[in-house]
Amino acid sequence: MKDIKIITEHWGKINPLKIEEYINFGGYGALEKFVLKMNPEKAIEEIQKSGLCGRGGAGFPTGDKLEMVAKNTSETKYFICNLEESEPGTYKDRLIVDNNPHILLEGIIISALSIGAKKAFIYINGNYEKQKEILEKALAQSREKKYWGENILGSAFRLEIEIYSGAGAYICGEETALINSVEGNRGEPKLRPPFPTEVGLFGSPTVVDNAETIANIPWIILNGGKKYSAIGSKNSPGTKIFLLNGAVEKPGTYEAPTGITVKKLIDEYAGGIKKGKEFWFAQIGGACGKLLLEKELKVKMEFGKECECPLGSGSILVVDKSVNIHDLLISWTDFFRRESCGKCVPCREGTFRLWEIAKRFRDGKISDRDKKAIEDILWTLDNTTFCPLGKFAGTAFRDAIAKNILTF
Amino acid sequence: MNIKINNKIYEAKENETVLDVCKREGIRIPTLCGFEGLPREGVCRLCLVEMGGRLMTSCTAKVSEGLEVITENEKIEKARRINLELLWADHAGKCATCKKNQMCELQNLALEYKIENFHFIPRKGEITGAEELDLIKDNWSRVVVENENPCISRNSELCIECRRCINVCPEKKFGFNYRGNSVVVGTPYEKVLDCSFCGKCAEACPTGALTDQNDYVKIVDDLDNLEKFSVAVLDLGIEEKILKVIGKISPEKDLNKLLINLGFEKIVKLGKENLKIEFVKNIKDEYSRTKKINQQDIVIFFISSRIYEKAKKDKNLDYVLSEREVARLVRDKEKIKEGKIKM
Amino acid sequence: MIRKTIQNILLEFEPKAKNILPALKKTSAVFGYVSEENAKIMAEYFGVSESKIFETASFYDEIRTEKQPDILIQICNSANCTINNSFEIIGEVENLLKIKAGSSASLKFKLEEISCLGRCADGPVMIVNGKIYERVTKSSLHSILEEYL
Repeated sequence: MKDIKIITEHWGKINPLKIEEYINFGGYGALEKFVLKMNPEKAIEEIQKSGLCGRGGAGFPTGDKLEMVAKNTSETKYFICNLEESEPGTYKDRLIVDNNPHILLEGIIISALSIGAKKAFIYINGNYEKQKEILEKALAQSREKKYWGENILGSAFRLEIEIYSGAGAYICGEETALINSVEGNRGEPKLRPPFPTEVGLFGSPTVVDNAETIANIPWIILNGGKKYSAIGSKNSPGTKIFLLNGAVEKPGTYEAPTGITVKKLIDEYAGGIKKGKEFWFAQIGGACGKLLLEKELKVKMEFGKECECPLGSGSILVVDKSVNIHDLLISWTDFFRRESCGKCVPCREGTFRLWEIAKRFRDGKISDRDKKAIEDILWTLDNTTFCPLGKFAGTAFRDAIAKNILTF
Repeated sequence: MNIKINNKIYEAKENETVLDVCKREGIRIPTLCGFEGLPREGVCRLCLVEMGGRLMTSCTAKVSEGLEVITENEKIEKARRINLELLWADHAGKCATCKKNQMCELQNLALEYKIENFHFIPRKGEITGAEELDLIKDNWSRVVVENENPCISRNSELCIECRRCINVCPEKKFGFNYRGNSVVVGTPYEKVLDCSFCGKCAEACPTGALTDQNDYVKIVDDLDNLEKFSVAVLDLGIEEKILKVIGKISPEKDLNKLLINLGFEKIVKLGKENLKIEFVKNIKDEYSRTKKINQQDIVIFFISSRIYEKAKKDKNLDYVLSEREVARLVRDKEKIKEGKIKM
Repeated sequence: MIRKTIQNILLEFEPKAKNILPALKKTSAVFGYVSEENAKIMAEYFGVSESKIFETASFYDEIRTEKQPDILIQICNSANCTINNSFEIIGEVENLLKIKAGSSASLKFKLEEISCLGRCADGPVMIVNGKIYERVTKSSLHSILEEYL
């Protein structure tokens, strides 16, 4: 199973700036199959069968999302590829563009056509200037080949694709915040319901899918949903790009089947713990990720409500005992007090107070009052915030205390 | 449709929110961001209720057949208390000198929920002076105080970012600026407020962040000055507004008595036939003629929500006082009575 | 070279809501920040209030609403860079330039702690006036800053 590669299959084998090389490897074959031999219903059925779920972190079933909008009779619909990717420790989508932008474009075109959208956006992180250029070139090449635009591959399908560059705000990775920012607003999450699949961009039904999710689509169309569903974890099948960083021998990006344990990823993919370093804990899935101790490394990396540890964006930060936990605590809390949109009280005020408390931790000035404050703030973040950012803002802090990584 | 609130069945209409039903049925739910007629944004997280085991904001939760809602339990109380306390943390200790003292929605809730022993910021003495400076700096990082426009006094130190002013302003003068804990509700580039001064923002503001601009000391001096003839000209409909704002401050419900108590010598009530501002401006002239009082000894207080008249600085309208300013005068008079303030 | 004006920046964009953010980004990039005057012109062009333009602009990191110092130093303090000692680098910059992170007191330098840029494998990451430096160490820091001083 280790050798199964779906997204990274072409990495290093093709020149990402030459569409022909991707085509020589069978690229855009899925699009041809979709246009010539399938129809949108069948394509969505295959995606549903595959069990593919969102790779941005939430793990919502992709096929169901596409179906909701496909069934909507609205004249205008949008498809948005979410390439905002500002989760700390995460740069998988950037690597997809760097190594094979066409697999992403192919996925976008199929997804957009399957829901009946005539317009797709690629919402890209504002810092990814080089990747934006790559995508622009790739788009020009694929348009030339009639993979998008009017009369795709001679059919009646048409689609416009536009790159939309973000302007630096973590929260814009959240789909309703992303939509707000394209609409010229502050990138604040919107109230749900209505969900974007009903009332999305400029009021029209919209699917927002993470770039990595989309990169799976061509494979599913070509090989069938059933085959995909046999890979990896039962509840959230497929492969996932994992990013291992910190105290490991071979930090890097690895595509592995879902359901793999953290231990296996560290030992078999990343070459084990770096020599001379002593493992302390691993943070899974970015700034809002859980912390795992050595004895917990056997948890499986999967999505879904029942999973033991949400794998989030797929980043795994291995922290060794030489790291100053107080610095890390400031890093986590500073991130959220800066990146909170500021709209709702518990998140705006709570993340700020946690950051102040983190500074007192560093200075050795923690009082009993602070202990109670931490408890209260973490509780209200977990239970009362407007959007998931607030809910997850306290995860690492909470785990650090619960697992005795951080002591008073 | 029927919904169940606290195990009792109530009728609800399509598209209503849980808060709408509760308000209609007299079930008390605290809110700070919601305001009559404004969009419900779920910002303050105080109107939380429990639905299906989860805390949800009642202002944004639409009703549906068979919905079951709990409005009071330990968890809800805890959530409201923590969120209130988070707002209160950098607000506490500022009430004594605040124009809205006793008329502040945040203060009322803090009292109701007995938020006194707040614990999100350290006490003096627990930390060094340098650290305290740091804390103050963090809390003050973007405080904007503006008293240069003629009608609205702004102090973002007291702002709780509820967005009412943003939503209520017909000219869209306010914005929700910056991000995270740097958020400031204010004008673009922190410029001086320049608008038609309808006063809706000051009316909607739950705290002392947006209040009426005035020379309070001079007003009190003029009212107390026995040589001055103070005339209160009451705009149509203002009486109810005043009594509403005064609310708990004074048990007195007779407005005439209240005004005379404040030092007014004469009360004129405007009727439908003389609502034009020219009529009010003529009062000074007329009194000077009929009562044989020197013009400069007559002080006209136009008591009205038309606070934009302040900006015009007409010599025949010495003061324009909103219902809030009258309430503040009453409040301070009450305090003097109780011996809380020595003047 | 033709001097860029706000007008010919706006000519690149149709007055649609979707173009507000790109136009703000472009204006900020060209002039260093979005000035009050330019915000006013943009508000008129897009048919929205000035407060709306400002609240949108001030939300995003890449759009500045005030004049920036000559040298803007940004250092990532997200988790991956932190375990690669970004706080040590931040402290060193503070010492060298006698400034505090986050402070706008100096017109010449400003040091900002920023969020992850997705270059985690090469941390700590530092940006000086838009130019990215990776794997910054105390000693490389000195030579980098020398270029600007």
